[in-house]
Amino acid sequence: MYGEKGFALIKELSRCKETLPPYNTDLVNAVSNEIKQLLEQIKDAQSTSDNESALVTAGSKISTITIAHAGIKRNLRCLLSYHYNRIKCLRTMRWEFGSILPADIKVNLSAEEIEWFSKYSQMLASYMRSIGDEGVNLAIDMKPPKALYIEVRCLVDYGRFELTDGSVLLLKKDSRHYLPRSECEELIRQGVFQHIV
Amino acid sequence: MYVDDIKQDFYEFLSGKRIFLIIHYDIDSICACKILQSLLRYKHILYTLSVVRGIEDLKTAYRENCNDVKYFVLINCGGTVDIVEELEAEEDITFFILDSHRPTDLCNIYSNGQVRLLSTAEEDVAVPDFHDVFKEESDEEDDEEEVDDSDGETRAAKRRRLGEEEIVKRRERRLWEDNRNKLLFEYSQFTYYARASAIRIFDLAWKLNKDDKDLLWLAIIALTEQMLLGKIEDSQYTLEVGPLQSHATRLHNRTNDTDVLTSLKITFEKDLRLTLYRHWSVESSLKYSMFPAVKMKLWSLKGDKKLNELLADMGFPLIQSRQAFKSMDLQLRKEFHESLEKLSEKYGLQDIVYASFILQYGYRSKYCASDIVFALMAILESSPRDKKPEELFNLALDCLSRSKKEVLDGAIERAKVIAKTLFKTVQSALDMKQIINAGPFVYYIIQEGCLDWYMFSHQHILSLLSHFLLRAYVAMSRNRKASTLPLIVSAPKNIETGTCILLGIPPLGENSPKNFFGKAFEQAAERINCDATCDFFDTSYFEIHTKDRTRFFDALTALLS
Repeated sequence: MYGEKGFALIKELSRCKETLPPYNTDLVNAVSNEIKQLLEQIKDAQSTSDNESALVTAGSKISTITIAHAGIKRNLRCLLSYHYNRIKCLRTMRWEFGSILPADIKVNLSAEEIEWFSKYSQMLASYMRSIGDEGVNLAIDMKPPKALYIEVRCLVDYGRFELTDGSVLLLKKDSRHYLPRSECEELIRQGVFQHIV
Repeated sequence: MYVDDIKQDFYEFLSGKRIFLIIHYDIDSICACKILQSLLRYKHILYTLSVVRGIEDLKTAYRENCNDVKYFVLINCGGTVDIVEELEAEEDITFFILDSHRPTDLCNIYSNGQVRLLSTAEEDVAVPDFHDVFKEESDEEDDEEEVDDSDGETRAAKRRRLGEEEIVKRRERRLWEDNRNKLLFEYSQFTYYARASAIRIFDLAWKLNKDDKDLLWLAIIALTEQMLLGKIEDSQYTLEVGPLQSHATRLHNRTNDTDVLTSLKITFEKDLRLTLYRHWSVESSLKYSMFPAVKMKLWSLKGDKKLNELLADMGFPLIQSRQAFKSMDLQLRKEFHESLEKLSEKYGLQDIVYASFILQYGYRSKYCASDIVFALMAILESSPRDKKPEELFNLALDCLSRSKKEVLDGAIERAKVIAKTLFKTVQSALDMKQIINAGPFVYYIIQEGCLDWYMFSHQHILSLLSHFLLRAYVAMSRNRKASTLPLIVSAPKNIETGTCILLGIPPLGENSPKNFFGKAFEQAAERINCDATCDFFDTSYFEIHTKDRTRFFDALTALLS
C-alpha cells in the first residue's frame, strides 16, 4: 500500500517523544523511492493517454493519477514532519546542553542534521553577542533564579577553587559552602557540587 | 573578649566578609548552625562549613583554610582551650567563639580582640581577675633594666640593698604564683555546660526580627538535648523553658499564610518522661525508658510484674498496649496521659511529667522535642560505621528540615534500637554485678564483643548509658553511700589502636551536672605516665590505651581517696 512507509516514520516519531532515535536512513530512502515510483506512474499514465485518445480508458487513468498524486503528497508530508520534529528536538537540546552535543546523541544524527545544528549554534551565538555591549548568554538561567546565592555541598575532593572576585576557597569532600549562584552553576553541571534546597 | 553587642559587633560586622564556620559534632551545634545559616543568608555572607569532632579535627580544618579565610566562627568548640596558642594563629585572623562548654579558657576571655566570645559574661562563673592571673611582662622587663642600670652605677654600695629588694620581690612573686595556681585550679576544677548555643543564636535572630517557628523549634531541640543528656540542672531547664514558651506564643499569634497551609504549630505541653512513646507501643516505651525503668526496677522479674500491674491499673489491655501507639483505641490514647499521671504516685513515678514542646505540621506529623533529639542522636552515633561523620552531619541537617520525613522516621526506628540496647546493657550489668565499687567511685567496663559494644564508643550514647547505669546502681545498691559515689564508664573506642574511652559522671546525690573528672583524669594520667590523648572538648571524656586501664583506675583511686 502506498504511504505505509511514511506512516511508519511518523509512528517511530510518536513512539520516542522528546528523544532522538537514530536517523532512519533506510526508511527515509524507501519513502523517497516510493515517491519517485509514483511520479513514474503518473508520467506513464500521461504518455499513454496522449497516444490513445480513447475516451473509454480516460476515467480509469484519471483515478490512477489522482491516487498517485495523493500518495506523493502524503509521503511528502510524512517526510517533512519527520524532519521537522527531529529538528525541533535538536533545537531544545541546543538550549539544554549548549553548543557541544553529548557523543551518544551525536551518533544518532544525520550529516545534514549536524550541519544544521552547527549553523543554528553559530546564528544563536552571533545573536547573543549582538545584544548589549558585551553580549548576553541567553542559555543560562532558563528559569528565573529564586536567590542570588545558594548553598551547595561538595561531592568530591576538588582542591582549591578561585572565585571571580579573587578569593580562593578549598573544596573538600562533604564540606558545605554558600556561594553566588553564577559561580556554582558550572561546577554543579560538572558534578562537583550538589545544590541543597 | 566578650562581644557586647552581638548584633552590631558580630552580625553586622561580618556582612560582606567571607567566613569559615566550624561546627562541633553534637546536637546543640547542629541546631545553632542551622539557625546561623538562615541568618547569614539574609546578609549574603559567604561561608564554608566544616564539622569537627575533636581538637585534632579543629586544627586540620584551620590549617587547611587559614590562608584563604580571615574570620572563623566556632560553634561549641574551642572555648575551653587557648585557641590562639593551640592553632598557632596569625595576628590577622579573628575567631568568634560560641561555646556552651565551660569553663572558658582565661586567655580567650582576656584576649585583645583576636578571640571574641559570643556568650555573655554572666554565663561564666567566678572568673579570676585579670591581674591575679596575668602579669604584664613589659613591666617586669622594665624593672629588670632599672635594676641593671642602677647596678652599673653604684655597684658595691647598693648591692646589698638590692639583694634584699630582690628577695622581697621574689617572695611577692612566689606568693602571687601560689595564689594564681590556686585560683586557676578553682576555676578549672569543674567542667559543666552553660546555656545552649542554639538559644543564644535564636536570641540574635529574634533581635534581628528574623525569627520564625522553625528557628524556635531548633532552639527548643537544643535545650531538650541538654536536659535529656543531663548537661544542665533541672532548675536551669525550667528557667530556659519560660522565655521559649513566650516566644512560641508570640510566634503563634504572628501566623502568616504558609503557616495556615501547612498548619505548623508549636505547642507547649506537659509531656511524659518516656522515650518515643508516640512512635512506639506503650509497653515498650514504659519498659525501655530510663525514668520508669529505674523507679520500678524493670530489669528484674518483680519489675516486670509491676509493669503489668500498672498497665492493668490504667485499664490498658495487653493487646492494646503492645501495638503501635498510633493504632491504639482513640479513647485509650486520650486517657494515657491522665491515667499515668494519676497512678504515678502509687508506683513511685512522681515527676514523670515535665514541660516540653510539641511540633505539629500537616494533620499527621506530630513530634515531641525529645523524639527529635533521640532521632538525631541515632543518626549521629548509630549509623553504619562506614559512613563518614560529614555525611552523617549532612543527614542530620536533612533530618531537621521538615520535608525529609522518611529520614526522620528511619532515625526514630534506630533510636528505638538504641533504647533497647541501653536497657539490656544495664540489665546485664546489674545481673552479672559488673558495676564495681573501687572505693571513691564505681566503675563499669564494657568489654569488647559484648552486646553492641561499638554503639558506646560515641559520646552521647555513652553519656545516656552512664546516667542510666548510675541511677540503676543507686536504686539496687544496699550500700547507703551509693548515691554519693561518682561513676566511670569505659568502652572500647578503637580496636586497631587499642584505645578505650572513659566517661566520668558526678554522683547522683549531688544533683548537679558539674563534673570534676576532667582534672582528675589528667592528674591520674600524669601520675602513671601513660600517653593519654584528650581530643574531646568536653573533658569529662578521656581516651587511654586499654592496657593502661587497670593502672589508671588504681591511680584514680589513690587520687580521689
